[in-house]
Amino acid sequence: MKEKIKPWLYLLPAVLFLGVFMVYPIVDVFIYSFEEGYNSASQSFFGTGTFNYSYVLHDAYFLRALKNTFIIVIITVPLSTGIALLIALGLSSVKKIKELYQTVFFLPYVTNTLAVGLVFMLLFRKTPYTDGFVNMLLNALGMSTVDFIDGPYWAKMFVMCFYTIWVVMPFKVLILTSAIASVNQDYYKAARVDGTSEFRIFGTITLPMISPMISYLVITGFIGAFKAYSDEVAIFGTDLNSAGMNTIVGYIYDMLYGDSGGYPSYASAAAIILFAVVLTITTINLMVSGGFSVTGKAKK
Amino acid sequence: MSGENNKKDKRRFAGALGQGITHFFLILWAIIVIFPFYWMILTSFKSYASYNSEYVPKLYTLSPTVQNYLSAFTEVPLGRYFLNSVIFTVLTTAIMLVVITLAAYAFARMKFAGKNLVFTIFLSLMMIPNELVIITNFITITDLNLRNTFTGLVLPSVTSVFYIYLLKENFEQVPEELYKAAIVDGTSDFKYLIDVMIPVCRPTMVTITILKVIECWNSYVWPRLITDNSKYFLVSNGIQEIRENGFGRENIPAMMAAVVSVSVPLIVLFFIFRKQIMAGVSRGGTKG
Amino acid sequence: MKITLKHLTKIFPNREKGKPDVVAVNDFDFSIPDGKLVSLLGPSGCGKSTALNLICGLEKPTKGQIFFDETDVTERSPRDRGVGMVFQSYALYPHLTVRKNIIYPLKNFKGDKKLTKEEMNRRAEEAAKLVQISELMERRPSELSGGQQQRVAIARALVKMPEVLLLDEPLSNLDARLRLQTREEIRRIQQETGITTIFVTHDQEEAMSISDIMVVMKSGTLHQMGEPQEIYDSPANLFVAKFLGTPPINVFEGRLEKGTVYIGNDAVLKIRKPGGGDFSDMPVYVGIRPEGFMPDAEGSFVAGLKALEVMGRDTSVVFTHDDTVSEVTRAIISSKKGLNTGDGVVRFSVLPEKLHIFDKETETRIPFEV
Repeated sequence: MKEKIKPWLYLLPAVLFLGVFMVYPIVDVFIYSFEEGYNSASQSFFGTGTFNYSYVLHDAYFLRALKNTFIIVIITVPLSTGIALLIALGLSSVKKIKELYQTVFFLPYVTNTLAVGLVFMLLFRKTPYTDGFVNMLLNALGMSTVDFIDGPYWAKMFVMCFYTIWVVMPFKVLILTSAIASVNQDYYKAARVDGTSEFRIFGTITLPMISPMISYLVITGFIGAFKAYSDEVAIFGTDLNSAGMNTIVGYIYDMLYGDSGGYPSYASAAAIILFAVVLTITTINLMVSGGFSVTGKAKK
Repeated sequence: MSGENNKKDKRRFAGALGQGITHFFLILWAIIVIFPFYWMILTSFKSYASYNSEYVPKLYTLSPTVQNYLSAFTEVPLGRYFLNSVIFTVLTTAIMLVVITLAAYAFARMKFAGKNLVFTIFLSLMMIPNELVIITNFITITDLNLRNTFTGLVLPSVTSVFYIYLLKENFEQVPEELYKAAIVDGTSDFKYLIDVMIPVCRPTMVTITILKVIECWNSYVWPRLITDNSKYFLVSNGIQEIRENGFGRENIPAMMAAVVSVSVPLIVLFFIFRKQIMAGVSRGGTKG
Repeated sequence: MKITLKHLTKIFPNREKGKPDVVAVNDFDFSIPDGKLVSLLGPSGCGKSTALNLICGLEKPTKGQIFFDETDVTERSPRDRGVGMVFQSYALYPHLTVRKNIIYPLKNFKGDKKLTKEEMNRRAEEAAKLVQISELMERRPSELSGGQQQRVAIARALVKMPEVLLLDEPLSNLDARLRLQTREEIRRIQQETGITTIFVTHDQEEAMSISDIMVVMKSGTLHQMGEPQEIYDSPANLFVAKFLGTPPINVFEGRLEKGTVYIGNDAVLKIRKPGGGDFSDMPVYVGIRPEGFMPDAEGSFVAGLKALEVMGRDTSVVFTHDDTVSEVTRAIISSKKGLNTGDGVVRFSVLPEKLHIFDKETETRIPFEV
């Protein structure tokens, strides 16, 4: 009997924590999303239905957040993956100071994105006292100054995407560099003996061999970018709505807590909409890339 | 002969040119990565007056001052934020290590009915985004009156299915005969876990610890929801607080001093454990 | 310590659904005398490791009992049985030094058996001296050769002064030369300590050379138990006869006719029942050990010559015969005297003690006199 209970004792803490903070919330969030006018103070609601969803989908703030999120996703995911691939290829071809490059490139991974975001804000910001570093560069190149933080929408979006790419790059470069390094060198030797050009070697050997990793990065990149939030706060501050730069996740948190907060039902509905969008995009991705498992990657 | 040499020279030249171009772009990216760090350190050493007098920002300073660091730790409670982050990080990481080690051991070494089913359920939880469960957790913690407490901050993040999975895989690579030998030597399961399993799997344990420390130190969303009393702010929230209500006036150099102070611990950690961190992340860490 | 197994049985459920269960150990019922070195011998997958695991307590039997002397230990956990065990892969703790590896079992002693640090060290050093690794105490397993690791594993098993020592294929990860050396080493240590030792192996030569008593098994069933020479000379059945001896015994289809053993048309040997009396006619398998053939120009056993392999001391004659059921048939002869190879035919006479006949149905050996 004792032997039968023992494994469960070992599992108990994990099961307990996962049950309370993962399994129960998943069920609960669905319930919330269908309860109309749920009030967390009195724990009462006055009906069930799809009202929360329709409210959220007609909320101008949510639509703005949806648009922002999609723009960030569509710009940053392909761009960061492409640049990361170029950098990784560059890294794999240089002979000197490769490790130094790798170390430097990885730095953003271990920095507090809130803290560094503040620096980015400073570099791009234009105030009455200074045009900021980036504008100084633009002037030197003969262009006129732009207020990237409080100025036009495209400028704000540019900073946002730039910073997002800066933040996600270390992970992608690292994954692609190790993927390229793990390609069996014999393939290259064989191709060179056959007189294949470097360009064809890339197209016929390197790319197919690392394509599972690329699709892994694209999928995780999509998922990550859809959940964009703290990078936005880092640049534009906590009041993302007034900056016009809110994201879906930001909308959820604002609904939950904050100046406009106290509406867990709306937050839940928004969260489920986000989840549905991510799930759909991931499924499409998986179908395009021809199937691939999350655990399969770690098993490699 | 000379034609062949010529060809060789040409190829060598093309190779050198290629290397040169590659280096050029790599250095360009390196500058983009490093420049914000340089800028924050530079600004943190400029005096308030000299910073505000530079309409065109200068790339250097001739009169560095540490005044900003003093301001950062005296005029705003940065020290408090630091302490909170350290407490939060140590508590979360320590409890998580215990929880995941026990679970991973049960999955890796013990026999019990329903093991595969439970493990599959665990794995499927990996797909649940944090954003989906955070709403209920926020309400749960609020209902339990745990807002603005360390308990409330720590509890939801003391388990990680992914790390359980990673550790289980590692535990399973320890030969079964080692376990049998230990049992014949009169060891209990728990003692075997402590005496043999953990030391043998130390590299993975270290990697998981470091990755969790990084995650804790940088966590922002959950602390923001669960604390509104600045006595319990962690560094991320502290930075945001300093930015919005900071020094009574917009003191950028002091703000940068705070930013540098917040960034330094992790960068130091990174330089010490560079290999483990990069190996660990490439084995399946994610960001975002 | 005497070990007694009473109707010991272990059945594993088959992992593939619908297939019958696997009987790894089938009704083992015998005793292992105190202070002997006993080997469990059989082809891989025959259940010998399971038998060992049952004795040390890593597995619980489906049926039956295990006694150490007069004490029933069937329900005891491994730690309470006081056995030492050595594993095929040595199972040394990679993060501990040799000294700490050897001390490890002592640290698990509880209550009044608890030892002081000095005692532990002293006993570890004694054990290390016994297996001759005293100078390696501060190294880690990864810095040792396979043979040295094996010695450490033996020292770790001996340090708690077990009454029973179990060795699970201890030599199979070593190269040929080391295997020979370590085998003698194990024999020496066993004789010095007098610990009842059970040695599991699939290598019949190893088992023959090292053990006082051999237990030959196959598919969970015990086929024969006895001293190595006795088993070699009088195998209980065709399986045991074929499993023991290199090169293996040559097996032919034959028959008994009027008290004479026939292989084809060759009347090989005239026999009668032990203590007198004639055999009735019947088909049999005839097994002849390679060393049982004597070159003889007048010999009754006629075969076609295939190859002569000179091996220095001996010569191996590979030959063909219409009635053989072995893949290769060969004779080992010490001199080529009398071996006529001119017409591609060789003639032998057969040594009666090297010839066995087996019942064609049951494959058990039929004893006889000449």
